[in-house]
Amino acid sequence: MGIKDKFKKEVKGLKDYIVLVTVDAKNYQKSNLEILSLLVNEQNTPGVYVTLNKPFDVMERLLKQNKIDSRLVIFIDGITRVSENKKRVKNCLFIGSPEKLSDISVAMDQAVKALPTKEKFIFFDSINTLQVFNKPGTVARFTYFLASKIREWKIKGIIISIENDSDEDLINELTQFCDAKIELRGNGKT
Amino acid sequence: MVSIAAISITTVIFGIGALILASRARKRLSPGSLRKYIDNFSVCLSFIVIFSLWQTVRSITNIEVSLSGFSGYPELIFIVFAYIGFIIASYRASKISEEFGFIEEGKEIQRLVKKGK
Repeated sequence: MGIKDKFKKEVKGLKDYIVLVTVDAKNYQKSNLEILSLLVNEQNTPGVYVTLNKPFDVMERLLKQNKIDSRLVIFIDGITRVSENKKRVKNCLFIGSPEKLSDISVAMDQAVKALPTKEKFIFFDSINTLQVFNKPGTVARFTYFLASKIREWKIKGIIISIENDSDEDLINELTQFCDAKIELRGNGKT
Repeated sequence: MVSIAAISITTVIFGIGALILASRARKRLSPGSLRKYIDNFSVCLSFIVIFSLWQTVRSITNIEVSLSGFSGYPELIFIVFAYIGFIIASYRASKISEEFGFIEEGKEIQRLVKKGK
């Protein structure tokens, strides 16, 4: 079963959901792009992509290469270091560091609320980077905040976690808040 | 006289309370735009609290203070500083809105979604 089919199967019948997607490093990029393609191209759903792993320009290029309409996505880039006066390009806000969790939270809230459509998504990529830059307690509080916000906003939430690189306790805790946990590994198969 | 002193003391207590709340809020935030804004706001608030405190002490003790020829109300200097601080805080708020505001992008996305249907 392919990534898209597995994803569709897990969220079937759910209007709003939180899905924790655990991927192996090999499959990581492909999985992200396939899920994005499903949401943006097939379901015509706009959304917010929080990238803590790949800079915005790389993400934009990848989306273009995979024919995913990046115009429907607002990016929040937490990894690219930028100067104070160059924090914003048209559909992307550069936060500057994954440590700035308050700014990421405010940006997510503003971006989600700015989308006037009924259907929308938030794609959080990834929990692992947060763990590198922040204390475990802070990450746990942030993920709890993220899950509760996704419920409050009544949107589709996709949280990416890279396998073998995550704190098991955090993943177990996060799984409790999620409607589904999808494990994607090995050659694009589940 | 007593009522003026009571009002002044109450004002100072409110001001200090506001500063404590702002400081607690700051502690909970990670570094970034929001925390910088709270810093600016706290500086403005501090000047106003100092101004109120000065006036309260003066109204209770009837002490006249003169600072380098500025004999009337030297505490007004703090109000001037507070307003300068407010200008900086407002400028920061406008920068925050430029950074975090996505309303225009949202409208464009809505137009594209409608077109795509």
